[in-house]
Amino acid sequence: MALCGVADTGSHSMDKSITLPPDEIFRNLENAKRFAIDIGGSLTKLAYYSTVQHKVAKVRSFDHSAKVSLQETDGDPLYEISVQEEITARLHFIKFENAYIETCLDFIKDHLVNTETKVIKATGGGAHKFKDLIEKKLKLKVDKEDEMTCLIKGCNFVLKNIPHEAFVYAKHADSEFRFQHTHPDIFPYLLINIGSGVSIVKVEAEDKFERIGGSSIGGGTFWGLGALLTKTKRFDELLQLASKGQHTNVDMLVKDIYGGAYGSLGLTGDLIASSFGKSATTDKEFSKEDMAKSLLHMISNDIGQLACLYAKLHNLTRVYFGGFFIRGHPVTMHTITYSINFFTKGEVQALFLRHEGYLGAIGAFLKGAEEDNPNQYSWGENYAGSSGLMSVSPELNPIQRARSGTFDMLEMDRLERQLVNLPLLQDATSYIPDTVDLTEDALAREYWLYCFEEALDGVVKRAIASQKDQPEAVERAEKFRQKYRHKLQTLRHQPFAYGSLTVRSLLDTREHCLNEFNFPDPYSKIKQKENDMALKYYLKVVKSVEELSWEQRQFNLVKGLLAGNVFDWGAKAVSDVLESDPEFGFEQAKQQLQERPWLVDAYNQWIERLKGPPHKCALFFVDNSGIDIILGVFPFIRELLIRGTEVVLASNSGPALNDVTNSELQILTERIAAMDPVIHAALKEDRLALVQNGSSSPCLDLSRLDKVLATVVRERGTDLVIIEGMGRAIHTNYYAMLSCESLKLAVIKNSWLADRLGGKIFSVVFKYEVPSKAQGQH
Amino acid sequence: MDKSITLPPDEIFRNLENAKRFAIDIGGSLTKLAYYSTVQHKVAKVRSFDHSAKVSLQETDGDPLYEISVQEEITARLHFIKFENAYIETCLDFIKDHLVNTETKVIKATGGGAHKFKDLIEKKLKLKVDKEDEMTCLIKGCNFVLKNIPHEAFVYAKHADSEFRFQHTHPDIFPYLLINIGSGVSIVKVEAEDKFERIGGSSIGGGTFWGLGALLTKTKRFDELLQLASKGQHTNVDMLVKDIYGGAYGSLGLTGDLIASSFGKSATTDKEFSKEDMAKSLLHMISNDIGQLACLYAKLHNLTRVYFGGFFIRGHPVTMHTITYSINFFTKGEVQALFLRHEGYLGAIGAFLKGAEEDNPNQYSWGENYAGSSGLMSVSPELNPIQRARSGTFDMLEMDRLERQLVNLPLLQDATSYIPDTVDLTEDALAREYWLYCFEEALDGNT
Repeated sequence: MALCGVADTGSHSMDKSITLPPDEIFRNLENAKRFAIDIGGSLTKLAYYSTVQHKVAKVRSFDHSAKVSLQETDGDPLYEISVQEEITARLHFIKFENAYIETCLDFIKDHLVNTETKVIKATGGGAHKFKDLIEKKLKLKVDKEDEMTCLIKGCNFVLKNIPHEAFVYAKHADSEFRFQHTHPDIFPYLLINIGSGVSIVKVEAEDKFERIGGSSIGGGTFWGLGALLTKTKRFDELLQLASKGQHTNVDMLVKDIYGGAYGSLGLTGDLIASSFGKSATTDKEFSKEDMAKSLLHMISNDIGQLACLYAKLHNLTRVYFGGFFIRGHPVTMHTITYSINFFTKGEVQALFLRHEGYLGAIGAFLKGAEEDNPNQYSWGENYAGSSGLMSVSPELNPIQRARSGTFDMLEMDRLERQLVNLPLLQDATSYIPDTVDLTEDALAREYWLYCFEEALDGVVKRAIASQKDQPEAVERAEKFRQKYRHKLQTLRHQPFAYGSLTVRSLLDTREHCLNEFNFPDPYSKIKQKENDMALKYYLKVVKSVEELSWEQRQFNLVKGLLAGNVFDWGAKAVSDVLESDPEFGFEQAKQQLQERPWLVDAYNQWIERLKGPPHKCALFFVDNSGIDIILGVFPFIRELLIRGTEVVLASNSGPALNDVTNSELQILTERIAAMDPVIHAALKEDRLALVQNGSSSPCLDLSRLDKVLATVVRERGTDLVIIEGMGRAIHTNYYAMLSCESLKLAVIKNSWLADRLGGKIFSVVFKYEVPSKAQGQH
Repeated sequence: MDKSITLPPDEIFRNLENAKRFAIDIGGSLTKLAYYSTVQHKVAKVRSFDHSAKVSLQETDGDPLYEISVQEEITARLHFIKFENAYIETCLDFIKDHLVNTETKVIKATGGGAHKFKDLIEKKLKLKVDKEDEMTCLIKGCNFVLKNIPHEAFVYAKHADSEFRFQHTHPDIFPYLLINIGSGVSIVKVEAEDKFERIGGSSIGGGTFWGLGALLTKTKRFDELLQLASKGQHTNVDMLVKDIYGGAYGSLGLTGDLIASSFGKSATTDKEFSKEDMAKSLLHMISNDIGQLACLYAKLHNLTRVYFGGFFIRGHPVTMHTITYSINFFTKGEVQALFLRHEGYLGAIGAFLKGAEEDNPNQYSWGENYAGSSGLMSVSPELNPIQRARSGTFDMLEMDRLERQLVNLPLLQDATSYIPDTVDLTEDALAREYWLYCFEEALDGNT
């Protein structure tokens, strides 16, 4: 169904048609409820809440109670996997030009079936104008909400829930967009909304804000004066003109008056002394471009100065800019940034927001959803369903624009678990999970984009194989391939589309796309097979280690941990070997490992530490299923438990690659406990705990972890954090500073990365860090 | 030069014979000349008769107590003359012809035009042009008038009984903020005689009003643009709060008539706007912006005395009104916009003082000579058509150096609030009528 059916609307001559099938835009409408709409001067933003039915792979232990001995279960698989339907909550936001509003309302009306919704929250200047149309079409009562309240509510929401929401714009830098890592405490801040006029709002808390200032010289002034001066009626065209003009032809500069700088006052010669000063006394024609540029500078500088003065007066350093004057326009972001730099001498940075255009709609939606307590949950941006920054910019993205018209989407998933910081971060405000920012590192970006594209065939194959029984899986897998390849293409041109581009975001995007096409866990069967196989060797490995001397044992346990980590389907080099040679075993893996000294080798310090008193509690972020968790991690933590250290195993809440999930780990642990009295006792005495980390990513963001995990960590007095694997210890957290001892270990299973770190493939990173005393005392 | 001086120039350039220490401030359109001269007065002196020869008190009964004699006395006077740049050559010629007794070798110069006219001045007057920093001169001049001229500063209130409400000069004039609105805007904080800092500024100033105004209305003259503005309706061009929200935006404290977006209506409306309306909108836009900046800087630096000057303000009730309105709006009445009667002379006064430092002019007290000064708005065509016709566009200020240095009576309870005059005739129209009549009536009488 295409929404091009303009004929249906009869009398209305709408010359624009939606080129993308609207069910790709207004997704999940069937279960939609809680509508909100923000109608601005030219763009409409629609928000709704819906539920999404996913397929999820669930694992369930077989009932072994009937069988008498362990021996008898040998031939059976450890647990059964069933695909179940799960319902999750999702927020949908769609932005489109006001011209489409009627067509869109018609489409929504036709597809809105299961809803008991009676009202639609509305905000924005156009809400009034379209009230009757909305009420007639949707049969929903329009309930108006205060514009500024919605704006601020939306702003708080995105700042809290979307990492990399805010960015600094630097026109001439390698990467124009420099994303900011969200601080846990977002207040207080200043929001400068540049619409027709300018509003300067100080936000001190969730529900506490004040309009402390404003100015009538805003976007409307640029537009209005620009139209009068240049006879150019469109805002975008005026900006285009401005970007080509020379303001010095129209403005009077300091040097035009004084012949050079006015040194004693600290004014450089090129400073604008008087905007349009030359047109006061010169009797000549000025070019449209030059006048538009002069106007743009005049307005941007004025707003910049006002923003700085208000920031200083109220002692605020975080200053966000929004409004249609700014929205998606590199030209105005640049001039505002320049102005703020000039007036604060670099002390304050102009910050912009990726989802600035949605703030009003988000806020209006939240007002309507207050009884659902949306602020009690954590939310995550769904990369698969979101268009990304500047998606509708005609300059930056001609392909995307042609494909989806001017529709821009944002989807946010309600996360099952509330996410918080790991309490052991040395400084939560400066913590950056990702090791390399691919938006800034062009070489690394090239490589990883290539790498993920290369791996795509394998992922598609794996996805199909995981659902052999479902013939239409081939078609879905093909859709997945198209979607993810398109995302990679987008990211090649706009690395900034979803905030800082990182290996983590590439991995997460892939997971989101797989989920999108109902491949919730393509590795579930492989994981099952490997877990089964590895369990058989568990006792043998434990026994062989027990026979060794203390020193040898410690080394063997660490080696086992590292060897286990070689088994990682996420890394292409390994998946190649594993698929071609299924006999690739644990012992062979050990031999593959680099000899000491390792690439990063703090093993001696670690051993010295082990000779001292035991740790109180170790938090272990585990990685892969199979050999890694069973033959690597368990023997290692077994030794810790014997030493008298409590152990908390943190695993993924949801599936990602072949990483062991919390529910799988529950079953595995039970089975191991059944074989191993040490583990059995530890479980029984609660010295071994399993927690989920709140994530479904192969990487690890220590600032967004399950709240329960944080509580457990605090209550148990955790004094050692172990992070294992490339995704969690190299791509992320390599530089993370913790307030307790930490061990980061991984085998580099990617020759490009190994090369970059100065080593070879299968190089070992064994990083043991102790926070300095001074910091520990804090 | 098609313009001639209609007033005999010796009524303008007075006491040129003994003139020394010249200074000149050449702005974008007006020239301000300053010089120091001595004036020969006749003064009535009284002297007691010599009664020592007489023996008793009784004997002097028939004689007058003292004798009166008229003597010549020489006093110092500062002359300031302001005229349009068009007259500059004629004026220099006149000065050259009448400058006889001077040993002066240099002329202090300031202002943007000083550079342009340097050669002409040096050729005509045979004086070396010595340039002085513009801002330093401006501040020096400002300090001088604030200290020496009572009622120098005033508040402008368009709709009040008396538009000009003069302020009583405080003995301590510092610190203050000076907002100079020329082509651009300079915001200067003045903390002491020689301590000032340009703490801010803006490129949206008089040049912007003039430049954008000229482009929008095809009207080239600044005065005419102000004329247009004073007849326009900004609400036809500006987008008001009520245009967006249908009324006030109460929860944010914005009234419906507040300008939400200057020129906002011309962004989306496809119609012709009148020159008057556009000029008015422009005037509001610029005045409001400057007003807000002034307030923010005043708050940030904890200053309550804010003076406005520059050609944008100078003698223009329209701009004084919009600036005053804006300051009231943004400070909710906490700060008053202050203007200066002799604002146009500040640069020239400052340049003169720089050149006269060896005479220690700041050690003396000075008094405005009412006979030799034109008074506020003398060249305003609207307010003062008679005066303008008489003296062309010449405006004068003369200040006498007082014999004695003047200070407060130490017994005043509060020197800052002391007002010598009982009735202010500018505010009391009835009393003003009476006393003006009374003095006119008394003019014929000789006793």
